[in-house]
Amino acid sequence: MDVEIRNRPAFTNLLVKLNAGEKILVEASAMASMSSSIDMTTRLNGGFFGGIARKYLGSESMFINEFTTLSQGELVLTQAYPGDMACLDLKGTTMYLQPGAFIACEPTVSLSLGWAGFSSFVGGEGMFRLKVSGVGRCWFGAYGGMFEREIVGEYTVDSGHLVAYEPSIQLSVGMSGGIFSTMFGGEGLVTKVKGPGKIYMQSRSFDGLAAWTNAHLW
Amino acid sequence: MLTQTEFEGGVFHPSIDGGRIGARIEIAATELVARAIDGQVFRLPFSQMRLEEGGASGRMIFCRNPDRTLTIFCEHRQFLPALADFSGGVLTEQLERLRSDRFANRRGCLLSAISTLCILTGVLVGAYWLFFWLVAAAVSALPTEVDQEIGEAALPSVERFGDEIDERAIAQPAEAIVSRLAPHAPLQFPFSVSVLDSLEENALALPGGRLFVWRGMLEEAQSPEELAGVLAHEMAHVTQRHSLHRIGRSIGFVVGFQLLIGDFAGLVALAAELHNHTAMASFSREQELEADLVACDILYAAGIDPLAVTKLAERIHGRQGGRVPDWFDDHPDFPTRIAAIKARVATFPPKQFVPLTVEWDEMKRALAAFDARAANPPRADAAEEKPADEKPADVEAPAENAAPDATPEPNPEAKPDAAGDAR
Repeated sequence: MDVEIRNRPAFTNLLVKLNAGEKILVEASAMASMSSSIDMTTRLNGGFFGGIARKYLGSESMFINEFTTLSQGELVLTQAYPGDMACLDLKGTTMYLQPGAFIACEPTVSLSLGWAGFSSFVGGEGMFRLKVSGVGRCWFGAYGGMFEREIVGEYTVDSGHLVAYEPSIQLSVGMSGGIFSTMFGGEGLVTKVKGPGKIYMQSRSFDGLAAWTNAHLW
Repeated sequence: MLTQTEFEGGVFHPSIDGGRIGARIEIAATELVARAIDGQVFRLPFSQMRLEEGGASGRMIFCRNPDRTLTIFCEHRQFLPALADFSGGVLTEQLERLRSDRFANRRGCLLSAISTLCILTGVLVGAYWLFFWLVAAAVSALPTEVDQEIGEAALPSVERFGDEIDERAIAQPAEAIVSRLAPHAPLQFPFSVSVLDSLEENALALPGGRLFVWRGMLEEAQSPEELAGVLAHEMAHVTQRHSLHRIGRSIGFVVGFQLLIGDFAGLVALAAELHNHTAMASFSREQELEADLVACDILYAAGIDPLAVTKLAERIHGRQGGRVPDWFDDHPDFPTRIAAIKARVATFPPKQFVPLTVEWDEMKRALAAFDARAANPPRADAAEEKPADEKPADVEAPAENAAPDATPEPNPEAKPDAAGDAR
């Protein structure tokens, strides 16, 4: 399977070329186009209750699509919002994805939903996270540009900008500055991450877009 | 003693493509051995190992070499106890530190959670009280016309206590007393008073100045001053706007918000509803005490003895075997209220009180006659003794509608009122 990440960073999409017998699991509604030689089957992701949990707690679809071909073909995968995508090459390791970030993965990667903790919730990163683990590649997307950082000590990420992080990363909620700065500096509460491990961040946040849009509605 | 010595975990090392890889970790005799899924093997002797704890779960154990280039990590719950069991005491000091850090961390988390909960609760309670404080302030700032509007809306709720007695001789003393007290009220309202046909010893005030006194109270009062005390107390409920404040406390967020933006239509509707479904005459402990004290001020200013009302209350209290009189029946205990009134009066300078000039004896005679009529209502067949042109409609009606040869007969079950005998 050959996957190309194209049109970065604003309108990124994945061009997936499948050979005979190869398979890819794709988030429902992510497929933009595909060859006629590709077959698609839909199944509940993680069973009935797992699917419901993924939809209502993980902001993912209840269903997952499986694309395969007996000959060869290609398909294009996109995400609903403008932004970059990245590929994780899992080697028996795990990565936590923020709700809505998952796009596709190889069948050898396992997906599950996990409790992210109150710190994540208070920090604006959600109460649940998608856990991808195993061996294989996984593709996920961000709103705006995406950049990764290897965390050794501590690092601060504003709410809504954390896209993915390894289990070795510890999250905690903190104030962006003093009480005055936190309340009036526009940053509010932030997420403090502590390594070792890698995190992925996005250059835009949905909350920021919503606030900006709201301010221009009246 | 644990038997598990192998766990799933991972390794951070610069030699690995991407810097990390999943591995199976074995606790050997003197070292930790991590066998990566690509076949690489990493070894970390216990003697060089530096232990740390962290990760997203807070339970991930990081085993590092001194220069921190190699990190073997594992999140399994039994990994730390297994290390303690199989490391031969080399890691004892570090394991103790980790346990102590974990305990301190948990304690810190618990304290943070409790503090956060307390702060949130405080903020919520504060916001709740601030909102209702603002509502109470808005209620106090309302024009007195709102009180009258509420009083008018709640008027039907008084009907259940008894019919109004429309006899001047009975109502005159109460009306005269109210006329004398009204100019001395701390807040001016168009006060009026009506007598209700009920033998209870009670009185009631509606917002806006409508006072009601029960016939039983008039019969119990032995002097105009005692009745003046009762009426002054009810007037105080009006001037202190106790109903409005009570409604303000019962108000919901929607009506409260409406009130804060100047729309009090919801408040009036709610007040009428409360009057119809609950006994709005029962005020809070503080309101009753306040009404007692304000009544003392009104009475004293009007030149009437404020202590007369205590005689009335104590008399009823004694006669009822210690049961608190209906009119005095509220949360503050009876002796406390009597003591508060006496204490208030004690603060007033000595004054020559002016007797109330009302037709008191005439009222008592009228009440006695009223009682007699109530005890011995005229018989229904008394209507037959009246001239034919004064017969009530319900007796004559069958005759009008019957056939010409039908004989009209009086209704033997006709009620006295229906027979045209106004009580």
